[in-house]
Amino acid sequence: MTERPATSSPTVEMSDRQVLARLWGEINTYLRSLLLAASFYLPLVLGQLAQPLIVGRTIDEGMRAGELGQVWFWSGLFLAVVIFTSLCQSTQMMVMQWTGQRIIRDLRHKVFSKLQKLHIGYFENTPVGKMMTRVINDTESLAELFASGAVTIVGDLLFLVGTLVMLVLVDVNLSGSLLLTLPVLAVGVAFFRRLAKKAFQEVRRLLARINAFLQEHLSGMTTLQLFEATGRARGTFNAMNTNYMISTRQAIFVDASIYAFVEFISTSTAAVVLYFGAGLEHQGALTVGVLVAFVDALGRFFIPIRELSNKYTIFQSALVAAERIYGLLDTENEIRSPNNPEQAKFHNRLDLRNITFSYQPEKGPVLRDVNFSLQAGEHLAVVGHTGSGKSTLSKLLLRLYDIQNGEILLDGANINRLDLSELRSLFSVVPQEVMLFSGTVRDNLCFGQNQSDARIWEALEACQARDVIEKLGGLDAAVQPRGQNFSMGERQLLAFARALLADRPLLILDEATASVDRATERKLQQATQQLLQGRTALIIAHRLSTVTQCDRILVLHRGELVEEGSHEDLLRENGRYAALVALQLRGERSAPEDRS
Amino acid sequence: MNTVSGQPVRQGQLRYRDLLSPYKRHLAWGAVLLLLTNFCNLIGPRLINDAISLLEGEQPFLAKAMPGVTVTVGLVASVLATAALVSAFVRVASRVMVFNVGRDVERDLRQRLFAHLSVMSPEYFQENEIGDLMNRMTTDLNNIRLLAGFALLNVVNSAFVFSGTLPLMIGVSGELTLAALAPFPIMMAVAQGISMEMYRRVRKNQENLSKLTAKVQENLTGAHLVRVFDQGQAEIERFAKVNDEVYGSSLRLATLRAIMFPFMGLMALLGTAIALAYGGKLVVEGAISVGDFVEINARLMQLTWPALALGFIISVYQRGKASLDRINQILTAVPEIVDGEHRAAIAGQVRVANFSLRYSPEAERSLENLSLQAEPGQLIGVVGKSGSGKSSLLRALSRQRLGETGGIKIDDVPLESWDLQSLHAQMVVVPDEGFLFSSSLRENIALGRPDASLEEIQGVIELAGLGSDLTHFPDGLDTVVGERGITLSGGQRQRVCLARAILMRPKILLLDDAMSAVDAETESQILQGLRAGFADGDRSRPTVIAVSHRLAAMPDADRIFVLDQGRLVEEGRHQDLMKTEGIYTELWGKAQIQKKLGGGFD
Repeated sequence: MTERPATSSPTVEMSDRQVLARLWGEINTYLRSLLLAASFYLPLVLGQLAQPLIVGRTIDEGMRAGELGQVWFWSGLFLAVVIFTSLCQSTQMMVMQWTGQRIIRDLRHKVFSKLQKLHIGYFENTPVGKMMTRVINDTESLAELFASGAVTIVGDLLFLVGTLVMLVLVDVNLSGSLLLTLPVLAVGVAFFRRLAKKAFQEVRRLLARINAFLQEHLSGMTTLQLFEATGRARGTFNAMNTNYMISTRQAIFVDASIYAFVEFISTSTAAVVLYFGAGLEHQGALTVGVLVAFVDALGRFFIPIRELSNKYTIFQSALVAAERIYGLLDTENEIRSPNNPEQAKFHNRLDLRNITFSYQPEKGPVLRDVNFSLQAGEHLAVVGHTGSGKSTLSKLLLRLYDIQNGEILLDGANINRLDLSELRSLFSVVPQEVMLFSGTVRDNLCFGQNQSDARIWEALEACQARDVIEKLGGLDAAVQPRGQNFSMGERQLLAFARALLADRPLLILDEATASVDRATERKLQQATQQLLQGRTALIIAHRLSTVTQCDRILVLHRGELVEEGSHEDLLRENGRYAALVALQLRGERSAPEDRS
Repeated sequence: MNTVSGQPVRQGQLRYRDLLSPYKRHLAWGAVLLLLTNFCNLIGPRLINDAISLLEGEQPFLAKAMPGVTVTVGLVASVLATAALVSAFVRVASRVMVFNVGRDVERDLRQRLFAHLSVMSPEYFQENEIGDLMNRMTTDLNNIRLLAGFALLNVVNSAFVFSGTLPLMIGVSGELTLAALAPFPIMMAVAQGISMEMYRRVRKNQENLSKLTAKVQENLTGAHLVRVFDQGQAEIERFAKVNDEVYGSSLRLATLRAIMFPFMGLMALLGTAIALAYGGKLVVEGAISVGDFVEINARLMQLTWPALALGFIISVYQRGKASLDRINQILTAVPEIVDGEHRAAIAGQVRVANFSLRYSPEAERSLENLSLQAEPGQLIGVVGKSGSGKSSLLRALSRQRLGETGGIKIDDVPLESWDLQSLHAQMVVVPDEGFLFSSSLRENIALGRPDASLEEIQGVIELAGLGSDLTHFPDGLDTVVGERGITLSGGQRQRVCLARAILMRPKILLLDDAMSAVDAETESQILQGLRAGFADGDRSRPTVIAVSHRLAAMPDADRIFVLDQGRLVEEGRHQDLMKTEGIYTELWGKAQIQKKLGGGFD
């Protein structure tokens, strides 16, 4: 299994600046909290800058002057400043991180909500692993921006500029020596930064590949085992893994180089300052205390620079993550409610006019010029071979896809003009493959609506599913992910109960193919009768017993409507449908009569 | 899953030192290099002391170290710069050495996890959601990597810095050193205290994140239904609940961090304040020189980062520990199916004797005292209502499930004695919903035999009734089928799975309703094709055990076993069973109608 070709993302790549601008827009909402956090920076930085100055004063005015009183005064001040800055720092961190977490929570919510609204076609082209990465890991990368303090980059810059200003103020001549080393620092950091960006991009790319591979192969592990393909998968995985490790080694090297480089510049700057400082002191232009303060301040100056490269990498990953998140958020939802939706209602009729539809234009239409209508209270069966397009019909009614030609009208209103959510809540759907969500039985049956226990049991009773749920332990029994603790037939019965409870005017019943046993079969048939009572229904039918009870039957063949009419009409017509029924009747003669 | 902390070492459980032990040499080298860097760094403050001593007209240390050389500030400065240069190179080497170990450990662990998961049984993947496993293999692995690289480097570095700096400081002034370092023990003690709380909050946060991952995974897999049932808004609300839990626990974590780190910094600077006051007094009294004070002060600053790093390390350590526990939960899970040693060519005889199976101790038996057998090359039908135990039987036969009592023998060798590789190569099961990978059609079909020739693949495609479908695929065999084969229809997916199984040229083929989405006629054709032997001239017929709801192929079966509630209730050939008017005739009558309708209306 080689990896799939990367699905091309529909959005154009954004520049770092654009991403930043949007991120800023995002952050704007939280501006007040962020400003509050930032307001602590100023006293924080001032406090930090004051520290070496106080040390210098203690040396000059206390130690070298032999004034013990001055020593007490300045060291007392130092203590006060240190406590003050720590308090500022703690408060600033707290406010900053709380805000950060809030931003992440809201962003995650946004991404998830977007995924709930996107058209289904997006899911057919995007691997689940990739979407998972957007919701979990990418938002987590952004969170790291706040948790690691990378966002304090602003504070660091403030500190750096402040230190420079202070150094110049302390001694103009001495700070001139910085001109010797700071340009080297700037050039070096810029150089390494570029290397780091490239290295870390590669690291992330390979990690994403590993995770996509894992996601798929963990899901298909049983299959791999049965085909003795685990060894091969392990080989592929190990190779990917090793590639990834190698890429991280490059990143580590670049990172270590930055660290060492800054450290080197830091110490050699101190050497240069000492050298010039000594000359100046000799001329009487400088005191020892000032020199010490200068060297001390320099030492502090380089600490954030050393961390800067670290923070920059975190910042970079956060930018990439943000870009990918925005890519998802910008994905155009191809199916959405119109701006001024009409109210969706169904009292009279549903019309399909000249419907032509294809999933992918190059593969040709699945439905061709289909016309029919459904009157309120009518039961309409659709029959046809696999690939005749009958399952597609239900997807179009719910507007999971938009049709290329023709229109679907609900009481005369084109469904494209209706509110999407309102439209879908006119329908109860019993799909062929029923999926249950993890949670309780009640959650799965009510789907967010409040229903009394009595009603739920009544519905279960009507759908012959009472005993199943009782055996499981009642309405609050747990449903495992994807309803794995229910058999296929049981899941179908629950879907019937769900539809009954939802009690919506239109019913779409996609009958399951013959994959349940006879007892369940009978239960399903009885439940079907319950469900159909008093409802307008479109039934994608597989059972003759269901078909014959419908008011009208549509026969689809290769996307075209070839016959339409009641059971009797179609028999008289002696076409495709009649042939099918005849075939079936012949089959029955060889078996004991047992039709319920 | 329960926590494993505090328990004795279990099979497969990894401790921190197990992770590192293959890299002892690298780590030793890393340590030596770190030692060297720190040595270079130790010179710095002493040289600054010297420079100031020179300015104050005192005897510099360097003059004692290098007798006969005139020590000037220029010389001191160049020694300082040289030491910095050497230190830089050694620093790069040491970090590369130690951080690489972190990455090595990450790779090892990831591979080990995948290898371990690749022997776990299907139930394991049902009990443990993929999202949760993924989370452990990403976030938790990352935490362990940090523990093995970052934390280790800093612990060693801190140890070196402290043990190198302390004697030098004491050499300058013992009492000043003692006074300045007084806050450090308090710092350590508090850090220790916080670490327990940190661990709890970290763990809680990781658990919540796992829950969130599982929720999102489920939602995205069911995206289609979310729309059909218009559940978008409800799902958003459900998500919001879990998202809020994550928010809450990460807030609690962030708060603790925001208190801890500044506190650590404060403790270190408290030392400077003490040094300033007490050192000032000592200078004024003439006990030490200004240069001495400056050196001590500079060394205190050098101690600050390692001390602060300890704060980081505590959090990294706690995160890593929590993560290692979570990784160990995977590694200590015992694979239910244990490999046997018997390897042989299978003739195709299957014997099930007095076999019983139950899924959990409190559940009813799914199979009860079941006995049946199949001779090589026979077509065996297994029929029964749903819940009769048909699928359980196939799971037991394919060794995905272990029985409670009784046994299954293949060619008179107990199933559990077979080497799994040998068994899987010759006995293939096709489920009703097989798993397809997102790769090409060809790769999916050749899953078990990647070396199969194009002719062989085309042969099985014909045999599986996929031939005409193939012409509709845009890229033929190289068509990418999408995640879980999403671009194929249900019937196509089933036939791809079937083709994949036939390509294995199995001696025993187990069909678990494997053609439920294929029309009855095609099913009959496929089975007949199989009975004629494999396409490439290999005339040996596989033993086929087919579970089917449709019963279409049953008249061809050499023997049919009818199950009801886990017991064998009827057996015989089709004609015999049709005379008995039992469950089989009942099912047959029903199935006949279904067949005609399914074939026509489906």
